[in-house]
Amino acid sequence: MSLKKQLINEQGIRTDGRGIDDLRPIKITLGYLAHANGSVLYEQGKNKILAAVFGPSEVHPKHAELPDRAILRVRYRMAPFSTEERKSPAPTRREIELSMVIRNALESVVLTELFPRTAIDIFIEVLQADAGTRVAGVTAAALALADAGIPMKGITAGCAVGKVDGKIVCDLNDIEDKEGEADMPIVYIPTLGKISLLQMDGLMTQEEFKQALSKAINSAMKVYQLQVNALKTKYIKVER
Amino acid sequence: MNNNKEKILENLELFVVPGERLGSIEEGISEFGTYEDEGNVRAAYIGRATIDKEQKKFSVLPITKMPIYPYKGQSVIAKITSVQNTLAVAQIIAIEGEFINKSFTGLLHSSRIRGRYEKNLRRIIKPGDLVRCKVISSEGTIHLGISGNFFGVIEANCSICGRILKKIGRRNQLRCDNCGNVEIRLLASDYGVVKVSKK
Repeated sequence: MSLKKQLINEQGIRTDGRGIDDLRPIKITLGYLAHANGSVLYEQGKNKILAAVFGPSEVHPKHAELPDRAILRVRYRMAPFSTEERKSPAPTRREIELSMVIRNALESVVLTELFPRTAIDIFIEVLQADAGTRVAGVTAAALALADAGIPMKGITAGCAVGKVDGKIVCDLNDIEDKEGEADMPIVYIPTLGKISLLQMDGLMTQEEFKQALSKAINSAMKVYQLQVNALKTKYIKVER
Repeated sequence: MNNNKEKILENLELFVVPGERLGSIEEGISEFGTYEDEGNVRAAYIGRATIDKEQKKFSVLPITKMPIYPYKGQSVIAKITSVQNTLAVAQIIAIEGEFINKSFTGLLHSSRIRGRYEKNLRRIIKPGDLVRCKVISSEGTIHLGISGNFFGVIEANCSICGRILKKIGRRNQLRCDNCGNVEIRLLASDYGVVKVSKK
C-alpha cells in the first residue's frame, strides 16, 4: 500500500494543484495553419494538439466513395516527440483504432449528405501528449471543421473523467490516467444534448458511473463555452 | 408593424455557431445554412442568422470561407478528358475564375448543350479542350451544361500538330497557324480573348 502514490490529498487537491472538478487550462488558436482549409492548435494543460481539415475533394480510389454522402477520413497520429520516451513514427494499433473511433464520433455531427461522392480529410496530430488526447482530438477537429466552413449539426466537446483514489475526478492527467482505477472519455454535443463517444477503461460501480457521466457532461459544457468564445473572438473580429 | 421591423433587424445581428437552435419548425422554414432536427431548426454554419418572422424563414449566412465545391449555378472551367457520342467527361479545374488544387469530375451531356441537337458530340468538343460550363446540379454526380453564348470552348489545340487554334471569321471555325488545319468547335463568345494560365 505504501508503494502506491497518493494522488489526491486530504484537502482534495490533486498532484498538479487542481481540485476534483477542475479542468486543465485550455487555449485555442484558430487558423493556426496557412494551407489547410480549417485548422486549430488546441492546448489543454500539457496536451498540444494540431487539427487540420481539407476538403471536400474527390475520392480516390473511386470505389471508396459513397453515392449519397461524403466520407470522412480521419488520421490521428502521435508525433515521435510527443511522449516521454521516443515513440516510433510508424502507425500503431492504438492510433489506427483511435482514428476510427474519432471518425465515428465526428460522422454523427458533420452534414455529410451535402457533399455526395466526396471525401473530407481530417488530420489530428498530437504534438505533446498528457492523457485524454482522443477527446482533445475530437474537440480540436470539431473546431477545425467549423473553421473550414463545413456544415455541421453541432460542435462536439470532449472531456475525460475517471476514478482516482476512490473519487470521481474530471480531466485526468498522465499520472492519474496510469495510476487511477478507471478512465472514461466522453464526447458530448451540447446543443443537441447527445453523446457521440463513450469509452471506459477500468472498474466503476453503477452509482459511480452515473456520477461520472454527469460530471463529464458538466465538464464538456465548460469546454464548449471556451470553443464558442474562441470562434466568437475570431469571427467577430474578422467582420469588423 | 414598425416595432416588428425593428425586431427583425435586431435578429439580423445574431451570431450563431453550428447546432444553435433558431426556432421550431412551426415557426418557420429551414432555408440555407440551417437544418431540421427533432422539430427544431438549427444553424449548420458559423455565421449571422436571419430570422424572418413575416416570411417565416430561417437562414444562416456563413462568415467562414466556404468549402471549395462546384455548387449549382456556378460557372466553371473544365478540361475535357473523353468524349462519346452524347456524353463528355470533364475535369473541373477552376470555379468562378479561381483555380482549385484538386479537380472534380463533371459530366457534359449533349442535351445540355445550346443550339441545334448534335448527333455526335465529338464534332464540336474534343479531348483536351478547355470549356467554360455552368453547373446544372451537384447533388450526386456533377452535371455541366453549355447554355449561353458566354459558355463554350475557350481554348483548343490542333488535332494534327497540337498548337493552339485561332478563331477565324466564321462562327465556330478555328484554324491552326502552323499546319493550316481547320476545325470546328462550340466556341464561347470570348474565344482567343481570354487567357487561361495555371498558377
